[in-house]
Amino acid sequence: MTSTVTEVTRTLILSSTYESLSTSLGLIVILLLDILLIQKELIRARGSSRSRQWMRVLDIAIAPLVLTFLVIVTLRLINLRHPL
Amino acid sequence: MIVILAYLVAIAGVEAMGVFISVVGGALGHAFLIPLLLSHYVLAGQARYRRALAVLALAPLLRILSLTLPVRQVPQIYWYAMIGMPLLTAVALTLRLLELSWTHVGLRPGPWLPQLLIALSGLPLSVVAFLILRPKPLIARFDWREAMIGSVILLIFTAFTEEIIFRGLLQQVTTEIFGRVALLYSSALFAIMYMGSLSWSYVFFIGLVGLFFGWGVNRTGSIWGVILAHGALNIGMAFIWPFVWR
Repeated sequence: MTSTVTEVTRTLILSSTYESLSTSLGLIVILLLDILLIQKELIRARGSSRSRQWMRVLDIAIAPLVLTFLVIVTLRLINLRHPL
Repeated sequence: MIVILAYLVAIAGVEAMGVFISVVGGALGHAFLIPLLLSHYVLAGQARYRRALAVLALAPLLRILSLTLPVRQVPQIYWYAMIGMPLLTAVALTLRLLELSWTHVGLRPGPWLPQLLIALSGLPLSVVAFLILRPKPLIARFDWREAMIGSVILLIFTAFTEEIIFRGLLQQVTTEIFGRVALLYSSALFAIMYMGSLSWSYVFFIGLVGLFFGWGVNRTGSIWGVILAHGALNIGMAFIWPFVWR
């Protein structure tokens, strides 16, 4: 048992359909990523002295969430052809 | 100081919500905390607690990734790698932001004998952890090849990643705020992130393990010993003890 995969995570993944997980938790990730990307673009457009720092900070969450987004989209596409 | 304690309470509350009330509610709470912590980092100016905010954001990020990346069709052992890879990316970006090198977070050789003793402590710790939780093995039947691959995955994506986050980064940045008491803070957050084990005795045990690991890192100045101990703890629970105590 680790903090990355807890009993709650295990039970959730094993007892739910991919469809229900991707439309609830997957949606949260996509919304969060959208918010962070919009925030980053607004800061870039404003071009303040702290812009560079803002962008570096936001990248901490944006980079892993982009990877997560790619996994979610790939699995959604696979799910269309071969239901998971 | 109060700000950092308030965030600890917030993370604990959101984690508890995800575990005991609603997983989606908990995920939403974590998703709210991430931009809040990161924005607060920039807006905090020269505040002493500022650096801790960027590191604290890794905890809700860990939970979001752990809830959204695993897929039932992929064997559970690979879930750790699926979550660990983006998490390590976030860790690397946090190090860049805070202008810390890998050696700053304890990835340097320390005195070998205390490190070895700390690493060996992982074996008895894994027995105790197993007896408290009695988890099922990660593989149905014992197979050396699968156990070896699984052990490498656990060592890199759980032990290495978690120790860098909780001991290497969090303990270091909170020491700038709390001094020696930072050990309690990082251990508390470490234990909170194990709430999902659904066992209070295990959460308490993990808190004690966190204190011991934190003490070991303070003592030796290196996190290699605790990475190996943490790895031994996880590997024992996943691949050894479930087959010994059937």
